Amino acid sequence: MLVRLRGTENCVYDDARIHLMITSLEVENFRCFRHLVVDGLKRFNIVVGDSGSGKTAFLEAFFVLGGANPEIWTRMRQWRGAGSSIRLSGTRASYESVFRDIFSDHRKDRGAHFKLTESSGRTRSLDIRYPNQDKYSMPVKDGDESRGENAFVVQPIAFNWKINNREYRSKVEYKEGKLNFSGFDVVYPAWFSSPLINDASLIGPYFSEQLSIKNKTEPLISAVREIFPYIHNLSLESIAGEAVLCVSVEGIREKLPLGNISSGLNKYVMLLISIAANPGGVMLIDEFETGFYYKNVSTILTSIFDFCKRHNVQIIATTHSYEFLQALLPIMKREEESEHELVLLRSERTRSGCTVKILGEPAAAIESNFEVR
Amino acid sequence: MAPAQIPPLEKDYLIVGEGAGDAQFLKYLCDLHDLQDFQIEDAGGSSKFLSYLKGLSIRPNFERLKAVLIVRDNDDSWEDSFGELRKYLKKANLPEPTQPRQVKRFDHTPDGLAVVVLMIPFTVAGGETRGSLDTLLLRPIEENNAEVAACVGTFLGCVNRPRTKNQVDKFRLRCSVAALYPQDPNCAIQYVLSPDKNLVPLTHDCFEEIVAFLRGFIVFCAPPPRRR
Repeated sequence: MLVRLRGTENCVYDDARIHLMITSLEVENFRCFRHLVVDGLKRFNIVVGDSGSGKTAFLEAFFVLGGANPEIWTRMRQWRGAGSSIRLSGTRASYESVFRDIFSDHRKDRGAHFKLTESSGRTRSLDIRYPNQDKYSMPVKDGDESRGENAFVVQPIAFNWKINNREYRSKVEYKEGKLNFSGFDVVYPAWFSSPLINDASLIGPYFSEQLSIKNKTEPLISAVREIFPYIHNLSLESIAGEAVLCVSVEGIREKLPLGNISSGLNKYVMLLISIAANPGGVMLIDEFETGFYYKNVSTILTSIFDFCKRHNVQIIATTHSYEFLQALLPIMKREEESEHELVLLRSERTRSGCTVKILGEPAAAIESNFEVR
Repeated sequence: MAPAQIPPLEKDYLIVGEGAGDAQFLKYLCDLHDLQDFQIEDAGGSSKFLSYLKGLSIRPNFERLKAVLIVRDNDDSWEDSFGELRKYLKKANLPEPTQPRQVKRFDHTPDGLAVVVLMIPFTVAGGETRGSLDTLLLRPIEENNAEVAACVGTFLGCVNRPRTKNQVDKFRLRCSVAALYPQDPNCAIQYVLSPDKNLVPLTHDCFEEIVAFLRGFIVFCAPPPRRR
């Protein structure tokens, strides 16, 4: 459900990240985007659009750009349905098949490029490409007589990040049938939440390290109780040797694992913990509405947005849900009247690839019951 | 339950009526005269016009729209009603005609979206007149039901209170509907118009000017030919 960018054990965030936000994103030749520029992002960014119009790819662009190791791409492949084990035959075609979906229309020759700019003016960019020179060799696989694409030596794909004019170079080497990834430490503080991701084990340690041990669980528990009043407390317990986030429930003597109560509660708590554990960062949330009971959506949204403001976290989220947008209306109006920190974006598939654009006056459109998705 | 949604834009020409009655009236007229090029919607009433217009530009397919015809009641001062609508158009960043039935585009997009406003009632001879859709509907109803019209007139005189022209017309229409349609004396205008109820003859010649305007609308708001 939720995954955080991970660096090495000594993972380092960019300095102090007070009041920083991503304000723009540029993408070239990634997934369905041939060329995309989105400028004017705010603290809360809600993306709507038809299926296949690039909503998830938009979030993925931020996530891969925020990474610090090409291994992130293999994780993203898995979310999209690829298997967890990569078996390579040793040919160039086999190697490149792992990365072919990075590039729009599979045009690997152009490379893919990403750049984000923050409100401070700081930038982070990523260039993914194969080296220009083509090395020709004898067939690398016994019995391979085709001498086609497979007759070329595997050229490691390069992931080159540039953070405030400092470059970090990384390649995906192929050795003995395996891919070897190398990276660096400066990840962007980004979390990705998606119904496709099932990695709840991360959240327990963050609850413990960022909140519980610092006696900072009260705001979290208050926010949970506002929507789920029968929940009394949250704690980390050891069950079958694993640290599991558990809840005390009114009327039940023993604590229960959070996930056993409701998927909506589980998602809500995970989002709140990840926001609290990720100050100055960005939450990428695919299908925000999934798992939430419709009557709770408005309160949940208000609570999450307030949590984000308190912890200086930015949200970039997608939704298909009309009810979600209706529930968002009071927050939109509040933001329009005060801090203007919410924008609605729509992804669209066009002849020249997908686009994402910021929509003006979303509150008026939703209030008028227009179909804006 | 979520409120009913206004569907996506699917046609090149959009007609926006002030309320549900206006929109239904225009739909029936267009159906009757086989004018199929328009998507017809209502703004939800005069108090919702602003948010409707402000939200219009973010709807999917807005770019394909060639023209928007906004239909609004004159009420007791067409200048005031039209002037208020102009303010809404300005706030919504839409082209702002300076007169009813004038085609207006943004200066920088000579073949872009055209905005036209039709104030009703309107007669070629009388120009803009005070009143609303109710005024327009009143004439065919009263002509077809002279006895009821006379009684309603008497009743109006009997309950003598100061009323504007618009209020008088609404009074008369409401009383006429209550008299002629006992099944639902409070029947809303959009339902009063239904041909099944046989209350308003939509073929009446008082609607001819509006039909003629709608029939010529696409040509009327076509962009000027480009110079070579």
